[in-house]
Parts: sequence; structure tokens; C-alpha cells
Amino acid sequence: MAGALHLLVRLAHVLGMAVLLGGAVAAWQALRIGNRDPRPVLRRYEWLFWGALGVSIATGVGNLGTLGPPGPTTRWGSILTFKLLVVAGVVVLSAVRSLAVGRLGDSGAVRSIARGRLRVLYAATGWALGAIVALAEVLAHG
Amino acid sequence: MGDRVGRDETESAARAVDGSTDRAEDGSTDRAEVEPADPFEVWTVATFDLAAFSLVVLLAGHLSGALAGALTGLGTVPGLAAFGYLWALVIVAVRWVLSGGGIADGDRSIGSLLIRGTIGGAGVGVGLVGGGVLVGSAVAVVRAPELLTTVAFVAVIGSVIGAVVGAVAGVASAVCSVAVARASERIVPETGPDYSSSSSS
Repeated sequence: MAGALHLLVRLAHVLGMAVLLGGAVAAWQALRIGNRDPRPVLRRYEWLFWGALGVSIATGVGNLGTLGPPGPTTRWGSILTFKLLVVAGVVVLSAVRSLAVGRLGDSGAVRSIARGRLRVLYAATGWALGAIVALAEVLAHG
Repeated sequence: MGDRVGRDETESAARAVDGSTDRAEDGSTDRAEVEPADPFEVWTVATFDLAAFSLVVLLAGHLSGALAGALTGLGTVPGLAAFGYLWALVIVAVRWVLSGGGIADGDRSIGSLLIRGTIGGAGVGVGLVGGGVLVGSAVAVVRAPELLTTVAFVAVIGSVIGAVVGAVAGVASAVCSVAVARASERIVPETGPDYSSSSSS
């Protein structure tokens, strides 16, 4: 029973990260296509993003509880510290990005300068999330 | 007099059936004047606050070496339930904080946001302790009724501590939320008629 629950928690954690990373790439791509209004895609992703982030943090803490993290001075502990700092950076970056998307409004198209800045933010989000996946893999498999 | 009472009762019944219309036409009640918060903004700010708070606690616990012991004592299901409950509390609190004006520059004064953030955070702290006490009371009633006095004592002390910690976290969250909102205003300065659909690759 405990094993099945832990598997479920890990599955939710992985699926949450898939939504975060895949959505960031999709949003970045939507901003690259010039002849289509990207706002519906961006707003949908931002709604999903915060839900998936909350689930990922909750299940991530659950994973840590199951694994029993070693001290911060060990190699594993140092990588975990670095991963948590990168996650914190993504959280702050994403809050700026989401509120910027919320400011796009319902009327009028997206001005090219805002489109360019948002595209950079989505690219940065995608790369940072990719780094988190890599760090998670190191933590899981050494 | 009797006619008047009868008419008042009829009007009260009509208000109960269609309260929103009445409030809108009346315009005298404060509740009707409070602009509801934007759900997108509430969802973003609330989850941002929760995620930032969780990460600060996780990092502090990890760097101090206390994380392993704390997590081992907390089961997976109770931990997830507590996180979900805290998430719901934060959403309710942020919805109240952002009602009557959003977080964007010019919507309202920063002082008002900080005060509401402090009160909202204190409410979340008390709500979190209150939820724990409710669960503890239910367990105590079933398994050990003699512990109810202890649970009541913990409720009083825990509520005070929860309110103080929540207030500090609330004002810190408000400061961070205002900071990221100002940064977002630099990314997308304003929506206006000069917006074009042109894009760059």
C-alpha cells in the first residue's frame, strides 16, 4: 500500500513537471507564430502552470520524506540545495511572467515588444525547468 | 402600520430571491461596492506566495539539517492534505486581500496591500492551526477524551503563534507580490490602441 502510494506521488511529480516544461515550450512556440493571437494559449498555460507547480512542490516534499534527505554538507544535500534555489528562481520568474500575461488584456493584439519579452521569459522558464529535470535525475540516480 | 410591515416583509422576500439586483439598484451597501478580485490574479499570487513560503521553509529546514527528521514524522497523506488545506486557505486570503482593487500600480496604495496582507496572513495562520485543532479534537474524542483539555490549550497558544507567524509571512508575501507585479509592468507596460499584431521571430 505504501509502495503504491509512493509510486502515485512520484507519478504526479513527473506529470506535473511534464506540464510545466511542455507548456513552456508550447507557449514559446505560440509567441513565435506571428499570425495567431497567443493570449488564449498563454493564459491557459499560466492557469495550468501554477496548479502543476503546487502539485510538484507538494509531491516533491512527499518524495523527500520518503527518501529521508541526508545533511546539506553531503554531495546529495548540496545538489538538493542547488535544485531548491533554481526552483525558487523559476517561481519568481514565473510570477513576473504570469502577471505580465495577465496584463495583456482582452482587446487588441500583443505588441511586438511585449511579445519579444514574453518569448524570452518563456525560453528562460523552459531552460530553467530543463536544468531542474537534470538535477532531479542526478538526485534520483546519482 | 400593518400594511407597512406587510410591504417590508414582501420587499425582504424579494431581496432574498434576487439580492444581487437589489444591491446593484440600491448602491447603498458596502458589499455591492467592493470589486471582486480577478481570479487569474488571485490564482497566480496565491500559488506564488504558497510556493515561495514552502521553498523558504524547505531551504531553511534542509540547511539546518532539521528537514529529514521533520518529514519522517509526517506521513504522506497527512502531509499532502495539510498542503492542500494551506493552499485553499491562502487562495481565500489572497482573494480577500485583492478584492476592491488589484495588485497593479495605481489600483490601490501599497500601504493598503501591506495591511491587508498582514491581516490575511494572520487569518491563514489561525485557520491552519484551527484545522489542525479540529482534526486533533476529533481524534481525541474517539481515542483519548482526556486529551481534549490539552487540545484546547494547544488551540489557544497555537492560534496566537499562528497569527503572529502568519502576519509576518503575509506582509513578506505582500512585499514580494508587489515587487513581482512592478517587474511584470515593465515587461508589458500598458495595453493601448497602438498595439499591433505584428510579431518578430
